[in-house]
Amino acid sequence: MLTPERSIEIQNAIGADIIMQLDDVVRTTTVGPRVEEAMHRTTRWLDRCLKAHQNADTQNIFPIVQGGLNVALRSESAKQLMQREVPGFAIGGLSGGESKNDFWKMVHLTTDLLPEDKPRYLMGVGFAPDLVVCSALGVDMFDCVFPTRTARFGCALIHSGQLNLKQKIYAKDFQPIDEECECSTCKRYTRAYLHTIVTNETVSCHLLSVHNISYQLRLMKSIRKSIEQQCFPEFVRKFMANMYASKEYPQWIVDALLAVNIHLDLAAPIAEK
Amino acid sequence: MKFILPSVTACSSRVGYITDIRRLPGLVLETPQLLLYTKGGSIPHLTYEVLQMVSKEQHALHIPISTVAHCHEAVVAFGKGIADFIGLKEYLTFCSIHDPAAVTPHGFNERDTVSIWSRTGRKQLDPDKYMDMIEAFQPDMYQSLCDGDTNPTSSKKRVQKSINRSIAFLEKCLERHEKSEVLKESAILGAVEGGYSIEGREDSAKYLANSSVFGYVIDGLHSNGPDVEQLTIEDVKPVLEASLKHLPNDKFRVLQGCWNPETVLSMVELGMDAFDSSYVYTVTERGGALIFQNSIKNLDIPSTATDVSYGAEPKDGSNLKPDTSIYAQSSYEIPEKKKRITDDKQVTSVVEEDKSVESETQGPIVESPEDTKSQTTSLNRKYEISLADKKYAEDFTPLSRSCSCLTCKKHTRAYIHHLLQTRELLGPVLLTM
Repeated sequence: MLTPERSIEIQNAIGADIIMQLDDVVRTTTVGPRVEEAMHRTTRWLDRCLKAHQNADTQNIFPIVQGGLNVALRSESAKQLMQREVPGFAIGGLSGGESKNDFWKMVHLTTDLLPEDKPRYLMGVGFAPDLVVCSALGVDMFDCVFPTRTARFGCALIHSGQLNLKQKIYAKDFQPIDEECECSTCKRYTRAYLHTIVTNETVSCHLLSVHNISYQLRLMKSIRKSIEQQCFPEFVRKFMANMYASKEYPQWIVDALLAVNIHLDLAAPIAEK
Repeated sequence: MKFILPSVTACSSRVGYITDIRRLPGLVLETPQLLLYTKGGSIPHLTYEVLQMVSKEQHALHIPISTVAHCHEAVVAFGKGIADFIGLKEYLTFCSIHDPAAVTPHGFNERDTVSIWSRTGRKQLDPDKYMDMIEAFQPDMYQSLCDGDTNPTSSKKRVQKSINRSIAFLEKCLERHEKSEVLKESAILGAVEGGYSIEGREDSAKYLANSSVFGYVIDGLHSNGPDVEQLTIEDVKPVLEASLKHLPNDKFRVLQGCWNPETVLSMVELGMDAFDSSYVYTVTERGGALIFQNSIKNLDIPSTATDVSYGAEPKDGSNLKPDTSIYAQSSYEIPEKKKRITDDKQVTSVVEEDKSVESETQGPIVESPEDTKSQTTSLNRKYEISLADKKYAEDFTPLSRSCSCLTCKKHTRAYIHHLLQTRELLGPVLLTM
């Protein structure tokens, strides 16, 4: 069993630049007193982690906001954690099985509460549209197994979603995964060849992982660039139009973006696939 | 394409060059050469980019038809040959028939066809079907269709069949080869058969010596699979010599299989020019790392060793000797020979990835009880350490001190042990490198 002290001891040994408190996290679908218990415990464990932390000047420790899907609890969690002197904050307890509608509201609530001048790290996100939406909601950092895991299952990420390269339709498709992608996989390998090796040769896992990570890094770079150039809303509109053909946007995305004053092109011409 | 030998003598080691490859101008491949074993068109575990971290030179790829047969249709549609299709067009391509790392089941060849085991199951190839594939793949070099389903216990009749059929296949393949537009720049190799019959070998070689092939594959010595590494030079020397004796010295000779390095060296001494790296693959798959010690003769290899730390340097750093590659040694003593694995062992056909294989299961491996295990151990452990072994968990030395590959420069035995324990993809990648 892992204690806060042991967790920090291990992380101190590993020597990472950013380390995480040990939190008490419950399933997003949990309701009742357990959620509150976990929230308070997380705060107490944060204090224990801070005390046990040996390398405060070389390793940055982030607390993790909990509180489930409960507005009051999540607010309370954020407020409590903010009373401690820490270099950044993580938002946890989300990206489980909850509905996207609940998910975005909690992210939005939390980013509104957390200080503006410290990084906000949303754990376990995610899919490309989620990255875009949560960036709009004020998140700074993400992590997810998705790009590499889906790569190992033979799926390549592109601007309009995913290509499942196991499908026979790619058997004679001699394009790269993405014409515009500059990753080493797209420079050299065709969909047709990848189709022959996905799930059969480990090389396919590597090739698709490289592409998928490259895709997500490019995505984040585009997000940053458009924010700098003050055309982020336009970027979001274009991104969503590519991702959701015929403008059938998931309602939660429309709502979440609206909450930060980004209006999606609901009536614009259909984007080319 | 040319094969050039600066100086030639019968049955002795030689250095040569393959050059003048129209598709790859400027490429010079020195022999003795290691063809890089591929499966499904890729070197196992290594993407092109990672391969560049091992070597930036242009190499030759060993592409067994059985591992790419399922790509045939796609490559036909692609129209530019297998090298380009697999994303490795800078490399010379050599097509063999069978996968050297997987046992080729016995008894499935017929008078007019050879069976291969592809991902989609058993396929029977006659020369026309085979040449259809070759024409689609357009390899720079390939072997003719042949029947090599022979072993030391094959009957005289069976051996004769393999010789006769292979001759017939060669004639048909040559016919197609000469008519083919797309194979104009490709080199075809004939297969020397004859099982373990000296006379058979000589007959086969004599026939081939008169045929218009670029070179030869020495076939029929084994049925592929990881057990080939148990074969010693003593097992094959007589028939190998008989094969080479009647072949023109100035032509290229290839021998495929997971041969162990010692046997490879001896075969080079006899005059072989090329091998494939399937041994690397089989060692990697069992979590082994190849290291070649400086002085084999100084070490006493216990006959019942299960834990021979040959080459594993003790943690505390005592007794450290510089490793130098076995190839740098000009002379070494082969350790006193242990009891040979009997040749009539039955091999269970294992083609792991292919569930639909009609394999001939002939029962479990019959081991002679006393020391087959130790024989295996002592043969294998001479060149490799088993990184899965718990004793490496805190060994922070590199795999090999004298190796300059990325794995040895950046990582430790402990880390690779960890990768293997947690089944991380990086483990086999680092070992393959």
